[in-house]
Amino acid sequence: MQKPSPEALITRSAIALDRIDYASWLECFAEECRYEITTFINLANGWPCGLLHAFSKDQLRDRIASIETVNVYEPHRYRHILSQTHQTHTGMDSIFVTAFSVYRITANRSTILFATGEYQDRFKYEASGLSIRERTVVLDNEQIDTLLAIPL
Amino acid sequence: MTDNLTRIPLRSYTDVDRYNDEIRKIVQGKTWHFIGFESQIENPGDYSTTEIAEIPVVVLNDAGAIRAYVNRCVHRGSILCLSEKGNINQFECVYHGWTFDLKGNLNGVAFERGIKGQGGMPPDFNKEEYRLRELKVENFCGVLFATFDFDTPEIEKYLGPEIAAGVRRVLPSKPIVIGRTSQLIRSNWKIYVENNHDSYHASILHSFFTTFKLNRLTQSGGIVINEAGGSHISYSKRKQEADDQVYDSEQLRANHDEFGLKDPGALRFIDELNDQISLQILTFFPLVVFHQISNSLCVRQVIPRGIDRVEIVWWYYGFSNDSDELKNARLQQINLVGPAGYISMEDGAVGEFVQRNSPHSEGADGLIMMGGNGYESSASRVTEAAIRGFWKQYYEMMDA
Repeated sequence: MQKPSPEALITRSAIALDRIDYASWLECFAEECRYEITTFINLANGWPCGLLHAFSKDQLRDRIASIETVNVYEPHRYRHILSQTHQTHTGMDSIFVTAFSVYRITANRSTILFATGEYQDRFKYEASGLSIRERTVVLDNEQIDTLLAIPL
Repeated sequence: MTDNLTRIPLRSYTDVDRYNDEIRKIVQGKTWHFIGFESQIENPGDYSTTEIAEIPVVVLNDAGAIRAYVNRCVHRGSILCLSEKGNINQFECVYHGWTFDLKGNLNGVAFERGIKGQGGMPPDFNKEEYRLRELKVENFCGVLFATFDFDTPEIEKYLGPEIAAGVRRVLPSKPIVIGRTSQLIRSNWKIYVENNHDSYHASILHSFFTTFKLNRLTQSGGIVINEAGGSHISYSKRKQEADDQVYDSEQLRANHDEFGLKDPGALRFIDELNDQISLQILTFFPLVVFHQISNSLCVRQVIPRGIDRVEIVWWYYGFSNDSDELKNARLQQINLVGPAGYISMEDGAVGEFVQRNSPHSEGADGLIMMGGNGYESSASRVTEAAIRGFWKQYYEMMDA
């Protein structure tokens, strides 16, 4: 793995999902990682429970395995449109914030604007490369159209 | 009306006239609706806003008494409380500044007497004749319910003793909200409600359940249906190993032997209610569902949004004395439930499949024959009795 910038890794993770290349998406995360999807309303109220909470990379692997082999839903894919990344402060613990829009594409259905929000990312820096240590996906709106199977 | 509860015409999901009748006769009839939690409006003057079907409602703490009103100014129908929550000492409409006290009485009309003798309301206008439309409220173990009809019997009697006990079971102390999410399903509201009455589908459609042996129809459990028919409990106790053989011989799609979880943190069940029951789905006619799925406790508020849309607001709750272990279990088990849940995401999809096939379906019925033609309680969950119970109460109210 080359040494990408945080911005390049964020883009790579989004394009991997858009291409339904879950293996590449998983590669973006550190082995010890946390990935959560919640909403601005939950955060504003101090409510911990959002939509999806993975506390290890194995739980992310389980999510992918389940949506690939167990869960039943109409096949679809996403298209992420990302903003430039804003670094909130410097140092090892800095958070990188990237706004996104995600469209959902389902065969024979209209493409819909499925979600808007932001990634709040923390990274793990190693000689071998960069990986996502913590990602909180904060949705602007709490209403999910139909279901959320594929992570954002 | 039908005296046959085993066949439901698919046009029930597409008939706009019927939908308007449902809102008038059922939603605004003698039925109770979820409107929030006591813990959201602890202080005098606190309010929160919500909806019953698409009727806006404001819930208020009036010096300790909980009141609910249609959130609509009597003047021109505008919204009184815009925010989702807040604290007020009177209602004030932003449109023309009409004000109401917390008991709902109109007490202020801007420029009521006009200016310099010009304009103003007619001399015989009497503010006392105008008040906000009030709903009857009941606080049931810290969860707030409202009804449009002041003659609706109290919740204990409305649900019957067994279902009321099932609600109390999952509310051992005052609940606090720990998270919320919402799911828009492109189906008629009844398809979603029927789905919650349908104990037959759970371990077939929701492959995840069965793959991980979380809930099988062979587990000990049962269905309890109230006398009115429309409220029920489906429950099961923790799995017993002897049950596995029956399922494995059925070769269900739901069994993926090759698939195992690498990190099963979401599957740990803590028997917090000390009765071994690890799953309870409780429907509270017509638009409320309480779920206990392991340690995930939730009120699902069903909001019909027209003939072919329904929103489900998932209100996750816990208790102020939850241990860290229990808090963690509730958080981990979010992965099982809600619009992104391993064992519930499918419900959003199948409702749409039925709705999509319902237009121009004259002569086509849904068949509800599993387990006979009645709506009695049973130890078996291989039955559609609770769906028939829903329709029994539904038709009774629609034909009244």
